[in-house]
Amino acid sequence: MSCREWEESIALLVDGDTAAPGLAEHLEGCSGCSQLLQDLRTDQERLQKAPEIVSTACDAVREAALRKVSRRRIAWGRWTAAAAVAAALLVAGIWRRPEVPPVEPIEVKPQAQAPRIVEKPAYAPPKARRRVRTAKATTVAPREVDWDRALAEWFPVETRRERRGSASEVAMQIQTSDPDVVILWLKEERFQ
Amino acid sequence: MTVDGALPGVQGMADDLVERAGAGSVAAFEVLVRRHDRRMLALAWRLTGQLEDAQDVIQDALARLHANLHRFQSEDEIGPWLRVVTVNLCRDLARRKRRSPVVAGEEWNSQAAGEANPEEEASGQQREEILRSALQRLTGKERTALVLRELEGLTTAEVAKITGVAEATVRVQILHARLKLRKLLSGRLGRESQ
Repeated sequence: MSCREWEESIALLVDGDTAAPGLAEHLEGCSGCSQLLQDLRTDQERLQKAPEIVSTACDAVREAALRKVSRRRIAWGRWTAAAAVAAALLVAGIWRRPEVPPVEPIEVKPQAQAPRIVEKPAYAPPKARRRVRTAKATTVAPREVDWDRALAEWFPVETRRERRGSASEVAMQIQTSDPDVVILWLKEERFQ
Repeated sequence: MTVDGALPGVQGMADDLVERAGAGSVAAFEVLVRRHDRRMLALAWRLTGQLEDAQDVIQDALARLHANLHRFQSEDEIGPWLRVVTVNLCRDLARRKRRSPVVAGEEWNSQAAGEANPEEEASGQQREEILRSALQRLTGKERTALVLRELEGLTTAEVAKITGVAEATVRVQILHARLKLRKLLSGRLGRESQ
């Protein structure tokens, strides 16, 4: 074996392994490998010796770390205090809240007797326009109509009774080609 | 006597120190720090190659120690924990800085320029600087394995546990690191590359 091939065995020997077979004999006869073994052991001693660190460097690290820890403690203390105050205010608010009198249960009437509120049917402009386009539409002035009948068709009885205002709120009546279909344009009115 | 040979009173005081530090005593934490900071700074210095970097790493490690004091039952657990944190922080720092081995090699060659064997004429402090510079030319894994083995005196199994690789891998890393370092220190690498 060449010296280069013995190098790994020598390094392992320095690392604490047992000597490879034949290594001892080679070291006796090879000054270069003996020197390598000695140098590796010298390197090992240097590596095992901790570098000299001046006290100021160590003190600087310690002080900086303690400052950081202290700042964190102060910040933590402030947050804790703020949380404690918030919790105290919350608890005080809950305790001092005015007592609300108990609400008596409301007797619910049967649904059949309750007035039904039916919403106005939604206006669908596109469909209506298409129908009007094909129809022979004429715009006429407001005239007397049978509002009881008209409202009866549009609104339920209960709602019609509550309806206020007069029948003069019709702005336009449109007759379509279908005699059974009459389009009424009503003024918007708020129910109270 | 306890199992590990420490006097019960002394062990109790140490545990009390950890407890008081965990309860918020800055003075107790400072005592704990004083027991570990120099050793950890030496480890970080060898791993990073720069004292300023090592100081930053140890500051961070000590701050993390303070944040994790509730985990420790006794002071014996702190040293190994700090060692692992220091190694990881040094590795993270190296990744961030993306140090190029070519740059480290240029620094090394500039120091050794004109000298057949630079370590022969160097003083103790210069030898340490040369050693640190040579260590920076190793790969990060080789450097970590060798430094943990020699400076910290860990077994191959302990090094493998910290670095997260197999024991056989650690043995190879240390082997290559020793030989590479020897070549760097003897100046042979410079002659071979010419």
